[in-house]
Amino acid sequence: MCPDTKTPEERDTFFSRRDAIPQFGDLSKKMAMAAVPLGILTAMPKVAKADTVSLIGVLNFALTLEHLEYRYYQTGLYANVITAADRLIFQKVRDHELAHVKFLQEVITYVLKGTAVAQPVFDFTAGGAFSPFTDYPTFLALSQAFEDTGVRAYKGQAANVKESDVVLTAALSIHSVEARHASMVRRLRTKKGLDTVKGWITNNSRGTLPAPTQGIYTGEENVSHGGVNVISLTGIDAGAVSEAWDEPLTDTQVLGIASLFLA
Amino acid sequence: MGDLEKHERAHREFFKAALGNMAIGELDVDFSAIDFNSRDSVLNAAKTFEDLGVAAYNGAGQFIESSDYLLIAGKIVSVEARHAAAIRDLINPGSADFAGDDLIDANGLERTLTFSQVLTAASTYVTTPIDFSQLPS
Repeated sequence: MCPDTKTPEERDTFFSRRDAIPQFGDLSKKMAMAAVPLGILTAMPKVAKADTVSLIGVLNFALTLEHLEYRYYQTGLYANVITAADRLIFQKVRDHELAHVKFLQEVITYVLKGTAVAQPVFDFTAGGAFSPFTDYPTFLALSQAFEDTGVRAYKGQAANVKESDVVLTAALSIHSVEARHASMVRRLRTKKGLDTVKGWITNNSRGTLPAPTQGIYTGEENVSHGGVNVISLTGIDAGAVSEAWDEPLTDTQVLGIASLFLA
Repeated sequence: MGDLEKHERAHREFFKAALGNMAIGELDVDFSAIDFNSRDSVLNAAKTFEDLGVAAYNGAGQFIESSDYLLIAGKIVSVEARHAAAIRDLINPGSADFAGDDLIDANGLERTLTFSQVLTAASTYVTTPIDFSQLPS
């Protein structure tokens, strides 16, 4: 748990907005900074340099995924592959992913004084395997894949950022938004008769998603938590118990999935 | 809704087992404000509970000292968020309410609530007094 940050000495080490913006007159930076609540900057306690380096690494990992998602949705909206009725759903998702990109860039750059990873070049066809921007069912399938991956990715990093209350809380606050996205896209695919999935993941099922996405769902069948087998404990069926907990993925596992979509 | 009941029961029984004799006792509920003959009333109560649950876990995370327990809480909160999105989609199908601006700010961050805020909100539906004076504020 982070040390109490309320002493006058420690207040002096907080990052102020003025310190954080090298060129105060630069309007675009001011507008970017406006998105980061003042509380985040002033609440940032003194973090040892080594800890900052590892936090930067974790947030750059998250930023890579957010870049992927933002670029995916922005391209999909621009390509007009999304049906008119569903556009506002994906505009909202796109807006969130863009906000996440900007937020993470700001925290890495201005709060942790690190270098934010550049946006990678993506190939959402995965070398020609998929046509998400001309085939709407494929667009929806990959959207589900990315959102379910994002949930597992953030979950896998929570323990790695827990030394900073502020960064952990921010990560949790992004993680639940990705879970909402995932639930909505899954439900949308089912409503359209493309699959029979619910908002939550049943066993390790990828449903009708293509085989290369199985890695996103493997492990989700887990029914034991903290040494407790919840089926034995409750008599509730395995499918329902598996649905009630989502599982983490390591950064290596996540980047393995994401690498399918790197150009 | 049947799925939600099973999931929440699984969570409840898990926490009772994990906490053992440290677990809070049974709570008496007051659902008199909910009309169980009205789909709208039931769904709106469900939405309140699920959204509250997400904000509660998000706010509590920083106070969990053990990485193992933090992971367990993390595994549950995303399911509550999936629930919340589903309920909101049932209430206003096909809209952007599943991840509404009422909960998610300009940075794309979902709201967090303090222990006090959560328990105060929950107390509308719980008649058993809950002492949260020992929780961090």
